[in-house]
Amino acid sequence: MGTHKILIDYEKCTGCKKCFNACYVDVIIWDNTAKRPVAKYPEECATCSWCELSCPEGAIQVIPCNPVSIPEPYPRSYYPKSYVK
Amino acid sequence: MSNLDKFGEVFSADVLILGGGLAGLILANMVKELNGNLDVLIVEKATTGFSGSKANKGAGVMWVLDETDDADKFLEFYVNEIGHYLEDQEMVRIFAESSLKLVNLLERWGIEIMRDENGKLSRIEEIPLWALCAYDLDILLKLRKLARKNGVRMVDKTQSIELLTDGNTVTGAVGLDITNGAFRIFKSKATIIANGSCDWMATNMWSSGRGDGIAAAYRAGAQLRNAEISNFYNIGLRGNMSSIVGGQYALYNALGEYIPPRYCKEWEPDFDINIFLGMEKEVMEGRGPILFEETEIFVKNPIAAGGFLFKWDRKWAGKFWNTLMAKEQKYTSDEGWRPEVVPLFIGEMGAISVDHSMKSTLQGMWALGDSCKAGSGFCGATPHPSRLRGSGLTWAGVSSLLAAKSVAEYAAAVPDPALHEEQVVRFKEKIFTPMQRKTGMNPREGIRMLQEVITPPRYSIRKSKERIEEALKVINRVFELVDNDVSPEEDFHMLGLCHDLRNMTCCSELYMKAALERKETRGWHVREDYPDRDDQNWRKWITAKSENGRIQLSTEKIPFENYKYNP
Repeated sequence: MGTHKILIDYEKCTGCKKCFNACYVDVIIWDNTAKRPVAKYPEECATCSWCELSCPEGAIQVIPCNPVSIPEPYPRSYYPKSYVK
Repeated sequence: MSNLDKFGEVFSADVLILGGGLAGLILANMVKELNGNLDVLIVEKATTGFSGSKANKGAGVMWVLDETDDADKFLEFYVNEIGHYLEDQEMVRIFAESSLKLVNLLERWGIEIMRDENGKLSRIEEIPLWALCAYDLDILLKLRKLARKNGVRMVDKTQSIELLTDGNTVTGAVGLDITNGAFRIFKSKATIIANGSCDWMATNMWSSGRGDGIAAAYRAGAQLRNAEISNFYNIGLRGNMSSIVGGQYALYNALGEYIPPRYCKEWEPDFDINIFLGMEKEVMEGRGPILFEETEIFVKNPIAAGGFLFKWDRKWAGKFWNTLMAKEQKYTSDEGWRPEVVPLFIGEMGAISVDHSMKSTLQGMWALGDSCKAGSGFCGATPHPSRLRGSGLTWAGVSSLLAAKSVAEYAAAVPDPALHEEQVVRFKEKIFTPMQRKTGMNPREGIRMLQEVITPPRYSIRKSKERIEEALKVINRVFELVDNDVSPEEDFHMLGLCHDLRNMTCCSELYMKAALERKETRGWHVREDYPDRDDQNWRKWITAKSENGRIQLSTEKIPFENYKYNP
């Protein structure tokens, strides 16, 4: 199972911090030395895209990974006639 | 009080609001309007104005009972179709009758609520008993701007973890800056829990609801109520996390049979438990998978997604949903005709017990929004959003409206609280204990273990003693792992996640133990081993408190003598 991707184009990024502030699940952290955002925890991304919508430079892009990994609702061990292999 | 500065950064406030989402921001602004001298501080794990799960990430719809709707008719419908006599009927009526006041307040603050050319609230006309109207998704940014103007202070990126107490009085909170590990101590006269429900990080939009405030309140000694009335579901594509609102009218089984008439009424205000029981039955009897055909949805249900998302011209909602939908189309797992759908776990465990002014059972502590919607008695036997689309936003606002006066009066009247150094030191040590484990289990693995015994339909839709006990075994195992094995690997974000895991484990146990206790089937609480509603024994609320670190369950009489409707 893959994970979501958050692509930051550092050529375009001006370090305005808007994406860092817009992320409501702390997926994007702030690199104090480089003064730039880093997408450090993409596996926790909720793919809301508020970082992308907030970026004035169009420098950040969220690529959701589907299918997402969720517990199987109908495993065959509980549902003998389940279609799920 | 001793000098606490040596333990961490100390902040003092008259009113401390934990959570900078919709409820927290509305309350902050209201308190400042009521008494500008009060010092109001919002502490937020993310950034105030962007946080919270739904106000700026949902459809931007708002439930309102407007002048043309009949409160009695609504209440009668609610009691029979939603609350199933487990609701606090007075609370539901207060909510309904306050909703228009919320619209007026938001408009006074410069938040546009969509209106028709004639000035009436623009609503989805086909919904008969209430109005579903709309706002734009920059609502939180506007409220934050107003809060700044009103002099509200904000501390962001700070996860509040424990409540400070002096006997039975809440005196503040302690927490962690998740960006740099700084320990923060907050002293307050009035403390407000506004940081959401517990949603187990299962579904994207609800990902930030991790039960922080609920678990902290419980550990501090607050009473919880209706913890078993948790966990709403929507319908979603397998492998995708978007809700297909109204999707219950667009389902086929593997034989190609249209199944809604078997499980749904002709008109449902939102998903009912029976469609999920029905989907499971089809699978159990070998007629799975359940498939979705989009065309039906638009003709059968007025609140289907396509019907309302783009009804209004809204700049931010348009941008947000166009972006999201374009991505779904590009990256979604199943683009075929009649794709497979499954129950999409939402969550929404919000069990802090509050009265009609949102005051908890602890002195100096209130709860708002998702953290207390079931605990207030509002939900009855259907978890939030209680089959009322848009009621999350309304509840966040109305609960703030109801709390503001008592919060402001209390904070103005009481003296500065005393903080106990011993308690602060103990909490600090506990908060940082996981950092001593340089390596160990990733907290995400623990979260996954919880998801495996909370989110599948057999645990949260159709329950049984056997399966609840099976879930509790896993929950107990996760508690052990939290205490002994889980490691943040020297990362403060991950330390925050260790505490999220602890809080979610706490909420899991509360949910399952209360569900085990309620030996009947009522509304969304379905017990395979107790298939009937039992008005004789179970027309009462289940409460929970911490006694020496263990859950003590009791029951509370529902005051039917004050209510209009009786079974």
